[in-house]
Formats: sequence, C-alpha cells, structure tokens
Amino acid sequence: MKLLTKTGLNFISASIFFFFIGSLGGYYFIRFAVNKMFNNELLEAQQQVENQPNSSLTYADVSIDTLQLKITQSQHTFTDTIIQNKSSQKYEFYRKLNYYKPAENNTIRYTIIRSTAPSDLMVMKFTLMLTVFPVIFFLILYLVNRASTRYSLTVFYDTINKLKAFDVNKDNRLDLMTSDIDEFEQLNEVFNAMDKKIKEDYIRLKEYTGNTSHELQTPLAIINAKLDELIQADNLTEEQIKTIAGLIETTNRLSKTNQALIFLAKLDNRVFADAELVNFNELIRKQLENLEPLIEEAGLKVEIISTSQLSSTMNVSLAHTLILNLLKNAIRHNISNGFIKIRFDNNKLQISNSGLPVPYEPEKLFGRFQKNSQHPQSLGIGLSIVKRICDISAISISYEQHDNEHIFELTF
Amino acid sequence: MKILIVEDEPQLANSVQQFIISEGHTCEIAGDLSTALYLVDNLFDIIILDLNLPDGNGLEVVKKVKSGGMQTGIIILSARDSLENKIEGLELGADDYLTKPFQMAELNARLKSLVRRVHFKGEEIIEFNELEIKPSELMVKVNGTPLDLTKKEFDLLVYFIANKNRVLTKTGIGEHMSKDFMDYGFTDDLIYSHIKNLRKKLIKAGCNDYIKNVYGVGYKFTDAL
Repeated sequence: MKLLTKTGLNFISASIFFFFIGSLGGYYFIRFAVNKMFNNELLEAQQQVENQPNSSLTYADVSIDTLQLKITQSQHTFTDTIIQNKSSQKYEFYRKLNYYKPAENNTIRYTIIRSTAPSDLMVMKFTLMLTVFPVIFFLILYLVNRASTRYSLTVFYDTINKLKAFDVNKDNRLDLMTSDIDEFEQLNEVFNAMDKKIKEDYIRLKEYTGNTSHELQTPLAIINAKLDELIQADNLTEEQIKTIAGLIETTNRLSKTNQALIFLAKLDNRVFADAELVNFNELIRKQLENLEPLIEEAGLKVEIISTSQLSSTMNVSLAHTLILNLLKNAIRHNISNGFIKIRFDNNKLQISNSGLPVPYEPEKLFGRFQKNSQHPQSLGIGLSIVKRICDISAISISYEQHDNEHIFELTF
Repeated sequence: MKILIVEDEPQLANSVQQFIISEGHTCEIAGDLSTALYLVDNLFDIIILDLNLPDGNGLEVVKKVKSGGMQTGIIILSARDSLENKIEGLELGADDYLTKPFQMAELNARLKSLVRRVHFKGEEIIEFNELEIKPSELMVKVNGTPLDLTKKEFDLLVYFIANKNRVLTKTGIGEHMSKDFMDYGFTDDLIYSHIKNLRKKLIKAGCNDYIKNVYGVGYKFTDAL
C-alpha cells in the first residue's frame, strides 16, 4: 500500500469516527438546549395560567382535568408527546407540562402543550449544518494534505527510482535530489555516502581479486619454468619423468583454474561490454570445423537442423566462448559412436548429445566446480562460464535430460 | 643475439636467462625500471619485458626504445592479461605480448618469430634436414615438394622446429595452439588429434617421423634416435 493511500485511509477513517461522535454529541446538545427553552416557556405559561385563569395563550394549549385522587405535593413533569392534528390528520410533536393543584377533595391536573414543529426544523437544520460543513471541511483538508504530501514525496520517489537503477558497475554518481524536508535530506545524504562507499569497496574488491589472481600468475610462471628446465635434462629415469609430468599436469590444472576464475571475475566485472550482431549458424560452423579432429576421434555423428538464420547482438568473444564450451561439453560427455544434434530456430538454439545419465541433479549442472566423476580431468567450470555468459547477454538457457539425451536450449 | 630481460622476480629471470644462454644468445638482467632504462642504451636486439616493476610501469621502456628509433624487438611478459593491457602495449610499439604463466617453449617460439621479423624481415627460410619452411608464405616443402598443411598444422610444425630437441609438454602445445581467446582452453584430445594429422601428412610426404612421443608428458621434435 502506498504511503499516500495509507495515510489517506487513516485520515478518512479517523475523520468518519470522530465526525460521527461529534455530530451525535452536537445533536443531543442542541436537543437538550431546545428542550430547556421549551420547558421555560411552558413554566412561563403556567405562571400566566395561574395568574389569570382565563387568559388565552397564543403559543400553547391548556387543558384542565379534575382527578379523583389526592396529591399532597405539587409536581411538574415535562414530556414529549405526539398528538394527531384534527384537521390535517397528521401527527405532530409537542412538548407537554403536567402539574397538579390540590382542590377541596380532589386534584386538578393542568396540562400545557406546545408545538415543537418550528424548533424541530431548526434542530434539523443545525444537524444538517453539523454534518455537511465538517464533511466539506474534512474533504478540503484531506485533498490539501494529500497534495502537499505528494509534493513532499517526489524527492522520496526520485530516490527510490535512482536506487532501483543503481548499478555498482556504473561510474556515474547517484545524484539524489535535495529536499527541504530534513528526514528526506538525511536519507539522501546517507544514500549518497553509501553509494560512494559501496563503489569504493567494490573497486577495491575488484582490484583485490584481480591482484590475487595476478600474484598467483608469477609463482606459477616460475614453477612452469623450473619444471621445464627439469624435464629437459637427458639423464632422467622414467620414474622421474613421470613425477615431473605429474607436477606439470597439476600446475597446469592450477593455472587453468586460476585463469578460469580470472575469466569469471572479468565476466562479473562486465569487461566484455561491446556487442555486435553475431550469426550463430556461421559461428557453430566455424567452431565445428575447429573441433573436427576431436569429433572424428570420438566417432561422433553431427547433425545440424537449420530452419532459419539465427542472429543476436552480443559480445563476439563471449559468443565464441559460449558455443565452444557447449560443444566441448557435448563432445566430452558423449558416448562412443554417439551423436550431437544442433537445431536452429528463429530465436532458439538447441545443442543435444547422447550420453550417460547425469548422476546429480540437473539444477546443479551450472554450478562452479561441479564435476562428473567419470571425467576427473574436467575442471567443472565450463558450464558455469556458459551460465554467466547467458546471464550477462540476456539469453535464457535450459537443460533437459530425455532417455540418455542431454539437451541444452538457448533462447534469445 | 643480445637479449635483455627486465623482470623483478629473480627466480624467473634466472630461469629465462639460463634458457636463453642455452639457445646461444647473450643475456643481461635488469631487476627494476631504472636499471632497465639505463641498460636500454646498450642497443639490445630483443627485450623481454615485465610490466609490473617495483619502481614503475615497464611500458616506459617501450616508450624509450621506440622514441629512440632503435631496431630493438620487444616481447612483453606480464601477469596482466586484459585486452586493454595487450592493446596498450602493442600500440606503444611492443612486438609481442605473452601472459604469465607461460611455457618456456612458447617464449622460445615467439623469440624466434620475432628474430625473423626484426632481422630477416620475415624472409628467413627455416631448414631442418629434408624440411624447408617459409613462414611468411605458410609454405612447407619436403625434399623440395610442397606439402599442403592447415594453418594449425603449419603453426604446430614451426613451433616444433623452433623448439627442436626439447621436451614439449601437452600443456605447452595446447597453450600455443589456443593463443587467441577464440579457442580458450584446448583439450589434450584436440592437441593429440592435430599432432596425429600433422604426423600422418609428413610421413606420407616422405618425411622422417621426427615427432617423438615422450611418455605421459608430451612430444619431442628431434632427429636423434
């Protein structure tokens, strides 16, 4: 719920509640005052009746009854009553005063009634005024409040939009609007400071990762050079050669892993930003040509089903790496005399290969260092590079397994 | 050939120096930028240059050499492997760029190729017994008869001859073949396939089988038995 809606709802519900109580109270107060006024008038009438028994009152009726009972005390009772008008047959509201006067052996009851019709109209008008004016008043108040809040919140929404667009990889500053509201001003100051800090930290982290990997390169170069020196010696036994070969192999794995990690770091740092139109039919054809000896060696049958040309805008070297990694994966995890099927569609590229079932969950396939025990040589990083490239290039990749057929599908 | 190694890591510098001397060149080492800038005036044929030096950027050496109009070839040997760094180095006038970790055989192949470019203007003919190679024209002759090789196979043959009589690891060969980023991560199988094809073609053309298997390690190109 938006802040504006929330405060608006609160305001309206509170207003309705207090307005209801207020009007009710106002109505009863007016009623009380009006009754008081009538009571006084009726008492005044009583005075007149008592002073001049036959005087005629212009504003009230007096009726006198003789009651066959004895009342020791005179008492006054005020009540509201409804009397049917004889000529119009309508019921009308009256205020009634009863009082008793003791006579020789009975009691005389005096009843004075006075029509409340004119004042009822007044009460109604007052009540109406009590209802309508506050409603208008509250409505205006609400609209003004809403407009002013909305105006004040523009800075806030601006901040939110800028934060949404925030990208730690971009160089531009956050540049939040200044506000005359202290809270927002403080918030923006905090965000501006945070923006600066995050970017500084991020750059430092990038430098750190880069430096660490690079620092590893020189020692690896030394090990390489020394091992090469060793293996060139003429007087080595077969055992020694095998040991050195093992060391070379291990160093190679280490440096390949390091290179792959540097490459992944570069992907994360969006080093490969420039994009151009890449024709994937052409790209696959080229890469298959490169891998031809390997495919021949493995005795694989390659089938290309192409219904249309598939082109997409992305970084060329990333496209090469993407396709090469997928094809290498399809070759490496194949069975002897297996197949590789490549299917082009308008916006889809499908690379499928025959192979043994994957022993772990397909979701983990794209994770780093996810290895198949049947291929201890693989670094388990190729498919995670594929995934990262797809993420960066806005390509969605999916993997499926059907009857020992592994299907990778890229949707552009 | 007079070669200068600019490298702050003494272990690595010594290894490279030993190797270069074993190839029959003379070699000096500069451990930092100021020494390198001072020594450059001695007119070296080739400088092997590290970029991250304790007292500055190795590119200063490239600038000095190129502004002095010296006929010196420069190979940059750096741990910095970003495209920007490579482009910057090559634009300043360096002849080649090799990233660490590197294979000695690769450095050797690049050195020889640079020597050909600088001193023979690429016109040199490499000869090895019955083999005759003209790198500028991608031409190979066996006993005077031209042999048809793919670009990769040709490249591989030149690499082998440049490193003749040395044990070449599969790793080193793989890295040599995947120079450009396009072929990122060559597999052993692929190297094996290429070498097998090259061998077949050479033998079919009547060439001796000089490519020897070194068990578990790699290959050796040699006419020794």
